[in-house]
Amino acid sequence: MFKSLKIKLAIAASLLVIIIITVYSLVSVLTRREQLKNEIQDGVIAFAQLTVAPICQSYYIYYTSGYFKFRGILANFLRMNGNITEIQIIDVNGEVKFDSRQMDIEYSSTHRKPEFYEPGLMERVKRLDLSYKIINTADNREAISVVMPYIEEWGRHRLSVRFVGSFAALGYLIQSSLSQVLITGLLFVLLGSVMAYFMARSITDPISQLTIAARDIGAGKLDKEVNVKTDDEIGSLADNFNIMAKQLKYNLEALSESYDRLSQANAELMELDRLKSNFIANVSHELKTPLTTISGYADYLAMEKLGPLTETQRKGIEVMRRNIKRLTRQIKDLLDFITIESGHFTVEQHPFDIRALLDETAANYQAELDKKKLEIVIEAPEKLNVIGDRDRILQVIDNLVMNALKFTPRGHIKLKAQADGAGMVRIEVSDSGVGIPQESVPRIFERFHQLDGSSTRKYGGVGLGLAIVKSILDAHHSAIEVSSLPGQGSQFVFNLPLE
Amino acid sequence: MSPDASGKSVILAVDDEEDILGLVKMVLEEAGYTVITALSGHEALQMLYHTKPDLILLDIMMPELDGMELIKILKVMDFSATIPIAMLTAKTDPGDRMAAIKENAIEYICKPFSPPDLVKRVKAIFQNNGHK
Repeated sequence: MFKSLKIKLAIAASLLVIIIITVYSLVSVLTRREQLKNEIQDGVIAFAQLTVAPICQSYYIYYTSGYFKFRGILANFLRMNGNITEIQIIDVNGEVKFDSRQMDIEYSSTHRKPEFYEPGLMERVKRLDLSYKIINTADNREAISVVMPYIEEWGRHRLSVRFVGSFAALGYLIQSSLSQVLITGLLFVLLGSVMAYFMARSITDPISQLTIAARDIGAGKLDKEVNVKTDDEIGSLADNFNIMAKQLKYNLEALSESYDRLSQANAELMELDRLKSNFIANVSHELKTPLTTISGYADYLAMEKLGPLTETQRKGIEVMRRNIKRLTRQIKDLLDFITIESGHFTVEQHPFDIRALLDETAANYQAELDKKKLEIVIEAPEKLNVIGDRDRILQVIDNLVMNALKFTPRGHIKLKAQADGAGMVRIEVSDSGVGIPQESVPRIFERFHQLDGSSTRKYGGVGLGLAIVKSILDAHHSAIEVSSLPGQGSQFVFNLPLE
Repeated sequence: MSPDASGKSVILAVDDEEDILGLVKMVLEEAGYTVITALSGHEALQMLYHTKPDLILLDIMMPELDGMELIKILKVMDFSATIPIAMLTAKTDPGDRMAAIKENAIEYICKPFSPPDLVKRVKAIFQNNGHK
């Protein structure tokens, strides 16, 4: 419950009021006490001055003749001022003629000394003017003792009256003034709390409104407006909040509009993409299916499984087979290239043995190597696992070997794989062929590029092999490096991570 | 019913190209197998309902029911679930190869293939499966 700003503020305000009131009442009670004490003292003195003559006259008139009457008068006097606790009539010789504490005893016959001891009392009784003194009563309470002489008409002084005034009333007075202060204090606390509550509400209500509006906006209800019409900081916050909501709404609308446009364009592109990919698959199918039957039957004819051949027939069939092979290769390169260019090309990296892959490639080309009397050398450990897409890397090595085969009239082709000790495997395809002129090196990986137009006719191929190699290695985040000496050979090197 | 009355293993070749089927039949029968053929996925399903070959050679790109759909069906049908299936297709992309292997194809032969290579691969399949 103390989490609400409203209640926190109200509690803080109340505490402040309570502290102020406590300090105020302490100070006021302390000052009031002195004041009240003086008032009581003044009252007692005034009472003494006013009543001394009637008391003494009554004493002369009634004490001996009608004591009850006298006692009645004295009792009346005592009742007149509640602070007066004792009245004694003492003559100048020190004899106590009357003591209000012993109203029932008549002192007419026997003289008695006062039954209290007050230092210097007799001197004061003899004096002709009023005197007072703060004393301690028998029960050890503070009291005021006032002695007032009774001066008769012709200046004779026979009697003095002693009045004792008690400060007991002080306690009640302070108590009542304290309870007054407390009641007003409580009232203030109550009022203050209520006021603080309402004041806090005037702050927190707009904040709650803003909170609800922020939640609604978060939930997408952008038409929500905060209705706070104050001139303070919260009012300006609300105004800015409303402006923000409007801008947000506008931006969102613009965003969703462009999103619609984009998704439409995207859908069109995806459709185009699908068509393209279908087209590639169809072209691939349409080219390869007739090629399969042609090459299959040509192979079968050459194997004389369909009947014996004459020498001329055999030669003709060999020419067909050679060109079928060439066509097959071109179509394969072209389709690989289109697939890679179309972006329908994924690389799935798993560990595989590079040595086995090199052996496999060498075996695939054995017939052609033998025919050209070239030697193929493989330098690699018995088993060396690298991480990559085996089928794609096979394509890379295949293209590099194909390339080397094409441009190497004599000598050897070398396939090398070796861990470099830093977590990578260096893979190298080199040959002893015609090499590449220095100025052409940067361009050999460009698609459709062969060294010059005539080389297409001389060496065959449409110049896609190395472009395919580069695309596949790019997808593996691997770079390919070429070094070449024209007339001495070329060297292609790339790296793959070791397993 | 495998192997057939003469003791030869039976291969079902499925392709929509009659010429390809003719070549496959010629090459594999020459190598000593019995080859039956189907021109569509539906025909293959009908044949399989009462015939149990030892191997199915399956083209992927066929109209109506293509090879990838057919292999999924064959691998859940009780009459064909245990027959090994090899793909024989013009789709050479590694992605297609992965998809076929996921469907439990045991071999993936790319067109164009050479006759000796086809024979070699089919023989390897039967050797691995304990046939002749």
